[in-house]
Amino acid sequence: MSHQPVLSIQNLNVEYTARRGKVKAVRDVSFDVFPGETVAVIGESGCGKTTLALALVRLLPRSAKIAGGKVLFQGGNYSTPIDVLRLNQSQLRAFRWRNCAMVFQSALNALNPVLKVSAQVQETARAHGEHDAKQIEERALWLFQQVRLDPRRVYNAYPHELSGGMRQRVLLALGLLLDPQVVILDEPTTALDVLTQRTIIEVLKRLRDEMGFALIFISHDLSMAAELAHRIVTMYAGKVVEIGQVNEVFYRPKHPYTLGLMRAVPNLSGGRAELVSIQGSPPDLIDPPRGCPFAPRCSYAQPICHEQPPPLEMRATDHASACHFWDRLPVLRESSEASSREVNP
Amino acid sequence: MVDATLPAAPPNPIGLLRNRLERIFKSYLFRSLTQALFTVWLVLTVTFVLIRMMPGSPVDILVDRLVSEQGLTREEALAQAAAMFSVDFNAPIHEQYFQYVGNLLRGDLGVSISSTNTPVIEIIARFLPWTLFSVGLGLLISFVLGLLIGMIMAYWRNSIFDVALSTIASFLSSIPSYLLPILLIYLIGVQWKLLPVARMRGTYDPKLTPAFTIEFIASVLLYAALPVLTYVLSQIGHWALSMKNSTLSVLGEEYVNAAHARGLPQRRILIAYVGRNASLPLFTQLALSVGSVVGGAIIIELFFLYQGIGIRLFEAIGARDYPLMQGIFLMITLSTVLANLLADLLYSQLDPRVRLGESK
Repeated sequence: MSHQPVLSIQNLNVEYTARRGKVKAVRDVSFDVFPGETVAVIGESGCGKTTLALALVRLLPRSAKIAGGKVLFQGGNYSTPIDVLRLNQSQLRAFRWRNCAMVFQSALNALNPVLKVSAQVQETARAHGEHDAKQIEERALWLFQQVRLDPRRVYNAYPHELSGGMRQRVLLALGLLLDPQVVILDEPTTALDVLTQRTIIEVLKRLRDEMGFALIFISHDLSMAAELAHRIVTMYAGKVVEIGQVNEVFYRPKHPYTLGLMRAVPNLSGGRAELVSIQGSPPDLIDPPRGCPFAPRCSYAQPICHEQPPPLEMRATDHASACHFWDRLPVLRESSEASSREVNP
Repeated sequence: MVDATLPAAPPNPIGLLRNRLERIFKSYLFRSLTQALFTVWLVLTVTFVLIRMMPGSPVDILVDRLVSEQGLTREEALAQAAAMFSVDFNAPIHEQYFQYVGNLLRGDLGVSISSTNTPVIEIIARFLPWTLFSVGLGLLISFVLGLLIGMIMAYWRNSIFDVALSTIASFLSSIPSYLLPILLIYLIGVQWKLLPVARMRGTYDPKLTPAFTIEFIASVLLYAALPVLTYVLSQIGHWALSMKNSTLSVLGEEYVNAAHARGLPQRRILIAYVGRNASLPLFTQLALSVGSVVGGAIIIELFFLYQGIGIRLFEAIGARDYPLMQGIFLMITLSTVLANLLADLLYSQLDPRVRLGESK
């Protein structure tokens, strides 16, 4: 992995205007994504992960406003970092899909129902200055094959003639059409059955390794995150509360919220069977609590947690968390990898 | 194992024929056509019965006229009237019906009673084109403009533009269509004196002979201007509001968002994504409104003395001219059914999801 991040998100803030006031959906989010790296953003519904993803390609709904921060991109045709938030409309149009492709949550509905897949492939390429129809068709057919679709049939089909899983894979292939440096997947497998999910994960893994794009995927599916991601970003109430290498975060979480998320999913590999849900619900983001946003739901909370917001600080190698009492959390599993390079703070 | 012992299936001509027939019966076009034919027959029968349930027969009306105009006695008038009609209107209704349908199947619409034995088909051929022209033009203009305005309103929703246009559109779509001609004649003809309303009777300047000259076409357009404007004004509000709603719901669709994410040009998204999907449901409505607008043409043509089929229908009803009424109703039905059929076929071209019966 190179040392220049392909995408560097710095102090990003996004607000929605609601009748009661401003909903601070993304608050001071900062993290880097390196070329070829896969970052999973996890958290429960409403924590701001989808808003974050939309902000990266500036596809937020009208009621949302980017209230500050930078999204620096470097790669492809940009040899020096550019701020995506400052691109003008035509630069932005060119940036989308050519540099950063976003595959949407509801793939079932992400293709125009009245156009054939072939037309949508061609128009996408044409919008980015690729006019060799034959070459584009070949590339699309190759990509369809890579995502295990019957290339000819799918290429000439209308969206409604394809199943949900097929449409999801068409979208994925379409996302890779222009060889982007960053691919963002928003809940890529939510609407799919377990077998199709498996296929998509396998395909993603292989293509990522072959084509070398950076992958940001938004998910609440922890097992998928564990399987695909190099790094995990946990979001809560619009903030990043923990970020670190996947094994570090999953085996030795340093934030009670991540720990809670993991205890709430069944573990296939055996071990403890009891599932513990996190009590309560996320805080009101119009008027967020003064201290730690998780404190009201946290079993480790002390008086200080309600007063002072904990800073996001390094707690171990490549592992930061925003918790006053991070060192009180249990170690879930001593992974050999993690213990060998453990650094005691 | 079983398969291997079976002889290869011989080509079966009867099975092949049955297959082909089955495909025809299941096809979209065939289903639409049978449905259309059934509708025409049903309307034909119902109007036939209804017309004959109206008080006063054509004979009564004619006898009354002869008595009052020519001073004949009732008996003389009756005898003269009976001689004038080839059809016996005192025959039992089912006999009349079968005779009518029989004639109709041979392409004979009968003979008009009130306008001295002119074949109904001639009257229709002379006056229907003008109605279809004015109504069609009015519908086309209101549909296209309404679609554009609706899309603009949806894009700039809640702007002053949207609020103003929405108000005007709901106002226009709620005033009764017979008030519009009065308003137009008053404003355009009397107040602003933009058009010589008093001289504009008929469908073109009577001094001109029909020809493909600019002068004649200009005259046709001028004489049709007010009826067309009435149709446009009475329809456009409805189209604009429907298109606005439809566009708003399409704008919320994921594929529009995804199209932006794919970096497609704004114009392409506007036309192929938003416009095309949002206008789909309106094409069905367009076909439905053809019938109601042709029906509503009666009043509007009367107001402007535009010589279309509407005025003829009005006169035919007054004279109890059964064959002419029946013929005009048939034409109105046919135009509605044809418009529906056309819309169906067009729709199946526009929306691939309804091309059900077709094989790949």
